[in-house]
Amino acid sequence: MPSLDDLKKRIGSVRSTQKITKAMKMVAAAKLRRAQESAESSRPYSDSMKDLIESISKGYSPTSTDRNLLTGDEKDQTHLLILFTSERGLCGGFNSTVTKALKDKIKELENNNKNIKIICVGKKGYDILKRQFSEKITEVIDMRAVKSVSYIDAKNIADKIIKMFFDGDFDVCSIFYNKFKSVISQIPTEQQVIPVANDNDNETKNEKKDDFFEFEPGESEILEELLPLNFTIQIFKALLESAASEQGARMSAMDNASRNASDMIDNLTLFYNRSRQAVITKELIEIISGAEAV
Amino acid sequence: MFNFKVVTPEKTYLEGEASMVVLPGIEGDLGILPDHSNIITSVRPGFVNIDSTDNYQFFVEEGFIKFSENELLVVAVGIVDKEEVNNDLLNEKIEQLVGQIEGADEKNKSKLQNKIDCLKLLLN
Repeated sequence: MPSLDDLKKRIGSVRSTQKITKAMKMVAAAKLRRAQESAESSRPYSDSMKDLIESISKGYSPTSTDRNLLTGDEKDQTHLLILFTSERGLCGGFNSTVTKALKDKIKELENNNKNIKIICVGKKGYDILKRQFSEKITEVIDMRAVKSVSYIDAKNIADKIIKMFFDGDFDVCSIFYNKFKSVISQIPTEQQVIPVANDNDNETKNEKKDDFFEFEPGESEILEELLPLNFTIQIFKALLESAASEQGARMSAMDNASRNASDMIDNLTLFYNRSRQAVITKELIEIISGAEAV
Repeated sequence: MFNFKVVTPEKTYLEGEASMVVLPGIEGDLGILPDHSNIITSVRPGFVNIDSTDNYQFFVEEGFIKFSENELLVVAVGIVDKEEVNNDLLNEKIEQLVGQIEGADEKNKSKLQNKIDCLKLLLN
């Protein structure tokens, strides 16, 4: 049985851990609000972008067979997978769930004999993957210096990847990130970004917009500029969603941890008081039996 | 009157009703009145004027516009209020582009050069 002193120390250490988790929860809650706001305010842009691309790409067929971001070049041998994770831990299953989704995809692609390249945005995903897939990871993008995600960060990443695409380093690109649904629920999401994935609900859209557009300068010139921008915005969206999800995940993880800590403190305190009483009773018995013996 | 909406990556910059919008299109300035034909075009650096009950003026660096069904959509990057645009800001942007032009290939070079020229015209 642990001594009273030991118990006291344990209660003390659990209590100080609880203080840390509580503080982290508060910080995460504050950061979450900001991250959520910026994630939500970027949605109109990505929706408008999608709308534009749909208006143009409907009825458009590329005149040349060159590589382009809309249709790719009909090969799908080399896949680039981009994984968005956090830079810091203590956020529950945030990193492991999205990495698991990526691993499943890798398995599926490997069974089909495809080549795989991985780019990790955020250190935690790299930490999980490096033992198993270190030869596939081409780059780790460090986001530690970035406090709140800006469009420029997304542009830097996107420019790099677009360059890789035109250098012929990969044929298909998918991104993996946690989509922010609510504080307690983040959905690991896989999205194909190059070539731009076709939606299944094309029919309904065609009904609404079968009108004709005038293009200045020309369809293909506009697409040429629009597609890289669209790709950038997808990366930006993923970064923002991932940042909001991270804070949400951390907040609920820390909330659970604080609650567990207070349960633990209750149990330990009860145990401590019982043992204290036992010690007192034992001493009394000793005194009384000592007195009787005299 | 027709509806317009200006969106940037960070937020919806502006939306409302306008009687006329003048935009710096890539092939020349473009005035949009109600019931304009459907059009999609890209934008060069310059000022956008929106005529409505309140008049708005702002600077765009690059972007696209789409007009259809009496709705104008401006999707743009680098929006700055007109009052805040000055030579320092423009020079800074020009320097950035000049820096980019060195590493660019032929096609991008001419595009960047066009952008620089547009920006230079705005200097006063």
